[in-house]
Amino acid sequence: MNSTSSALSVTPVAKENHIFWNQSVKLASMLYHWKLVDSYESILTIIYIHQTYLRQEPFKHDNIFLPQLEKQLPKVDGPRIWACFHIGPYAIMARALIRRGYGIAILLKDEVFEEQYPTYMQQFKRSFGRKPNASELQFVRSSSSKSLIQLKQLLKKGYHVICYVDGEEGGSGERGWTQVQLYNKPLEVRMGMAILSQLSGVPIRPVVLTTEGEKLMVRSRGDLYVNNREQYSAAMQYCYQMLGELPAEEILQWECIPRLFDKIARDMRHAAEKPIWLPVYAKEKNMLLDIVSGKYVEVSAEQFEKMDALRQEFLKPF
Amino acid sequence: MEQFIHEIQNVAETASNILDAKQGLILLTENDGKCNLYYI
Repeated sequence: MNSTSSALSVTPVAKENHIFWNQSVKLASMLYHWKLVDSYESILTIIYIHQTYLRQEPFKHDNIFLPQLEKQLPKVDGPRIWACFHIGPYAIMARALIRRGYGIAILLKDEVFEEQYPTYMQQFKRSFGRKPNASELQFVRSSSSKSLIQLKQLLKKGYHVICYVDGEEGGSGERGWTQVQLYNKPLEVRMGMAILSQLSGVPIRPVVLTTEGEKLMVRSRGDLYVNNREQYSAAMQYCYQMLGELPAEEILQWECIPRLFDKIARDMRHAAEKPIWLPVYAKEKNMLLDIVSGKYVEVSAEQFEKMDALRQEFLKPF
Repeated sequence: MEQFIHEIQNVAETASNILDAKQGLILLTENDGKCNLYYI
C-alpha cells in the first residue's frame, strides 16, 4: 500500500504528544468496546480527560494522596494478599502498608525490578529517614519458578503481599491464566494470587485506587479465601469486579488499557455500526482509525495537517 | 470540538482507500515514538 503523501515531520515534544494521543485512541476503542462511550462527543470528552491525566506531574502523591490512603485503607488483622491494579496512584500502596507497620513483600517482574527497586528504597528512606531492613520490605521476582513458594513462605512469616494482578508475568505458556468478565466482555487474566491464597490459607483483599483532582477514591472488598482450584476463576472475578464498576472517567486511569487494545483488537468488530474515525500517528503514514470496525484509511498530508491543527486546538489548554 | 469532529468526518467520507480486507493492529514503541502497523 502506498502513502498518498509524506507524513508530518515531528519534533521530540510533538512525538511525545503523538504517543499520548495514540494511547488515548486505544483507550477510546476499548471504552467503545465496553459500551462506556458511544458517540464522538462522549469519546472526545473522555480523550480530553485522559490527556489531562497523562500530562499530570508524576511523583506528586506523597502529600496529596498518601495521607488519604492511610486514612481510608481498611484495617486488617494478620497478613493479606493485596490484589492491586495499575490504576490511579497505585505505587503508594506499599508505603501506606509500611507506615501501618506491616512487613511487605512485593511481586515484581524482572524488567521493572532494576528500575523500581531503587525507587522503592528511595521512597522508604523518604518516609522513614533510613533504609528498610529485611523484616520490613522484601521483593520477589515473578519470573522465578519458585515465586509462589517464596511468597507463601513470606506470608507464613507474617509479611503482607502486594501483587498487581493485571500484570502478565510469571508462569509459562497457557498455564496460570483464567477468564473473567469485564464490562460484560471476556478477558484473560493471571490467576497466581488465587493459587497463592489456596496454598497459604491467606485471604485476598482487592484494592482499586482512582483520583478526581486531589481527591483519592479507595475501593476495597472484603477478604476472599480460595479453598480449591475450582474457585480460581471466581476469585479473580471477585477482584476485577471493582474495575468493572468504574465509570469511564475513572477506568481511563487504568494503565493497562492500551495494552489490552493491542491484544484484543482483532475481536473488536462492530462493522454494522456507524463509524467513528480518529486520527492516529503512524510512522510515514497519515492515518484515520475507525474505532468501531477497526478499519484504517490513509489520507493526504494536507488533510492530516488540518486535522492535526484542529486536534491541537482541541487540546489547547495543555 | 465540533469543528474537529466535522473535519474528521469530512475527510473520512472522501477517503477512497479504506483497508477493507484487513484489520490493522497498531503497536506503539514508546522508546522511539514509532508506530508500527501490523496487518493480521
